[in-house]
Amino acid sequence: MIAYNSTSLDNRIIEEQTAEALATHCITKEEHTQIGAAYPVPFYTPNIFIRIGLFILTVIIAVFTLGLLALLTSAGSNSFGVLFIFSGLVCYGILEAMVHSKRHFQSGVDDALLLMAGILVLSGISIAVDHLPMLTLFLLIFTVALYSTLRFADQLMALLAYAALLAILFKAMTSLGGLANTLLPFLIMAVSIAVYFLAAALSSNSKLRHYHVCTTVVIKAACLLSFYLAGNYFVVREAGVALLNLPLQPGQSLPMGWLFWILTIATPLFYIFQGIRKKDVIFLWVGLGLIAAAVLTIRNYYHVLPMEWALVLGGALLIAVSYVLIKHLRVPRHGFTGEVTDDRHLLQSLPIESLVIAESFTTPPTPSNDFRFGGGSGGGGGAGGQY
Amino acid sequence: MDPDLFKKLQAEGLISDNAAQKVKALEEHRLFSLHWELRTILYLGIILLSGGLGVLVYKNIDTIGHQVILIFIALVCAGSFYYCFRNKPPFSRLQVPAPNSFFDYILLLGCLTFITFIGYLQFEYAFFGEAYGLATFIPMIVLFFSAYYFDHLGILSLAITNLAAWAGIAVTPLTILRENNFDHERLIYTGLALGVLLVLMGLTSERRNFKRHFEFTFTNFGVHILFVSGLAGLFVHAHIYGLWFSLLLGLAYFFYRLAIKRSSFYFLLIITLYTYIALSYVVVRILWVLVDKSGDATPIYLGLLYFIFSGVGLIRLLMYWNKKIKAHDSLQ
Repeated sequence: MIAYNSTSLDNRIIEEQTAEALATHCITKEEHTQIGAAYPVPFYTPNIFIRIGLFILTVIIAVFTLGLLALLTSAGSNSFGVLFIFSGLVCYGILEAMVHSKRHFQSGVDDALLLMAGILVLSGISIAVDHLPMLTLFLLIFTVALYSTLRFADQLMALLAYAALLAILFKAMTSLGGLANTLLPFLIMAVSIAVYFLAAALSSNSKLRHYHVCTTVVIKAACLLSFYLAGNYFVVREAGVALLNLPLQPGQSLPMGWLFWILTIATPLFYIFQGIRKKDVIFLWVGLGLIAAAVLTIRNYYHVLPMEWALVLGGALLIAVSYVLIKHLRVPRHGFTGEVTDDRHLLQSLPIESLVIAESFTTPPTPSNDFRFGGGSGGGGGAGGQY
Repeated sequence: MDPDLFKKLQAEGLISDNAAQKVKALEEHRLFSLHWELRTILYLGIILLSGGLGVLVYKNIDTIGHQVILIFIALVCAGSFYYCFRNKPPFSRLQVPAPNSFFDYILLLGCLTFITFIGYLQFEYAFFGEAYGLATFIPMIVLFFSAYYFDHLGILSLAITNLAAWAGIAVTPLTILRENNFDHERLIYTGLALGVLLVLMGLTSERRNFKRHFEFTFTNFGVHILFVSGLAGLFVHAHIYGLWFSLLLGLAYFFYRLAIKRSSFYFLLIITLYTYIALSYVVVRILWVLVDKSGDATPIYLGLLYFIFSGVGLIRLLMYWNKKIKAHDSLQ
């Protein structure tokens, strides 16, 4: 299913890992070159800035080619749809060719072509078909995005597919009306949980290892977010009033409001707790971000404090908490540290390392030739030129 | 790093036993860093607190009075600088790491309150009268001094921004400033001069090995100011656009050499995009004149074709540069 050569993708992971090992002085330069020769990565993946440039230029080319085609065919608004679909398919064809023959992988060209193909085909269909129902459009978006995700392991497309899935649910449930409306938040929460565990299960399947970033980062974060939003008091109440015409007066509470209040406040705390307990960055960051959402939600309905005092007290609290934690974590505790763990120096900075290493070696380790004393920032040479 | 992978590599004889052991030991003792999380919370707290205090003061200005506020700001500023002078590491021409995690923030607080203090004085009491130049010049000096003396890249950026503001104000005659009528010509030339100055500062700090890590910040500001001024000149001076276009090409060549020397993909992208804007402007202009003269649509087609083919050409160029720098990298 995936468009890329599986072995090449595996070698890419090996390349990433050995580059890290080289930076932390775990392996020598010779070993690194040796591994590179044994596991070659034939992909064309340029530097990130070149990637940005290639992306912009590809979009420019595609847009002006479309303009030229539109002029040449003197298309009326009827045939615009066909033209868009046709151009989208051409973009997709070029994309496949680029991936196959030129081995483009995250080069900017393929990113742009995939995006253009999706946008052109979908907008072409919605122009060509009069009064396309929203539900059908969402289904189309979901299909296209899911296919793109499976074919190219593209993170943006994975996110889009998940968003489209939720949109389909929302549309389908609201068109049923009645009890379905009441159950909608719970259904979205249930789907979030289900997709979360599905992604977790899929990520441990070694056959699907190439989608690892999609499942463990993108979909996971999206699930955490959608679970929270479906339970957030503000979202449920205002979306109910605006989209489902819930007969609520201003100031009137939601049915089962207490449940949504609990979810609004408890979910971010649970995420942070989980993030700390499992040392999981995604949980931690989503949780921290959602604390702000919870505070804003509370303030939107209950003006406990005047704005300025809330700001002052909240700010002081945050400063105090971070100050205490930074002081506390200056020495690593429970596997946490408040300092930057610069992996380049991790091996040298931890005295425990040398003990472990010294213990496990029968002969005392000899420093490798490229080990420079006093060169604490010596490893940074490569980064200097790569802005 | 995955220890199993390195075990496999070791079994294949690609790495030594020592290396595999090191990876294993490192992974077992890997720490979970909360550095950026904690810094973000701290920063957010500072923003909320200062915002809240600002609103409080604003609402109670009648009872507090301007002098009290000024004295408070001055005290915060003096306190911050006192702390920084007490705790600063000895001066060095090279990069000096901050003595502790709060040093940089406190220095930033001191500098920001200093700017606020001067601004407040000028706004409320017109302390510097109509010498607006002086009101920006003094903070600029303080900022540059702090950036170099305490070694702070963020404050260097603030100082450069202040320098640009000062240069903009200094060259604009007061009457024009009052009428809010900004003289394009003057600002464009000031921009060019400022850009040249910044690039020279960057080059000097590199050549003389004096705070060499400031070089990127200087050059980065310089590149953007030079190209933006050059493009402004190109757009404003319609009759002699050839001259301005040549100037931009010269700039592009100069920075291209610099980028290749530094192996900097970032600068290559920047100069490509700026030069492409300039080139497209000139091409579209010429085609526009042709449309006016001939009256048919051929130049429009030519324009579309230009964008398609120039896009393809630039893609090839960027790919070629990527290869060139990468090949160069492996030589190092």
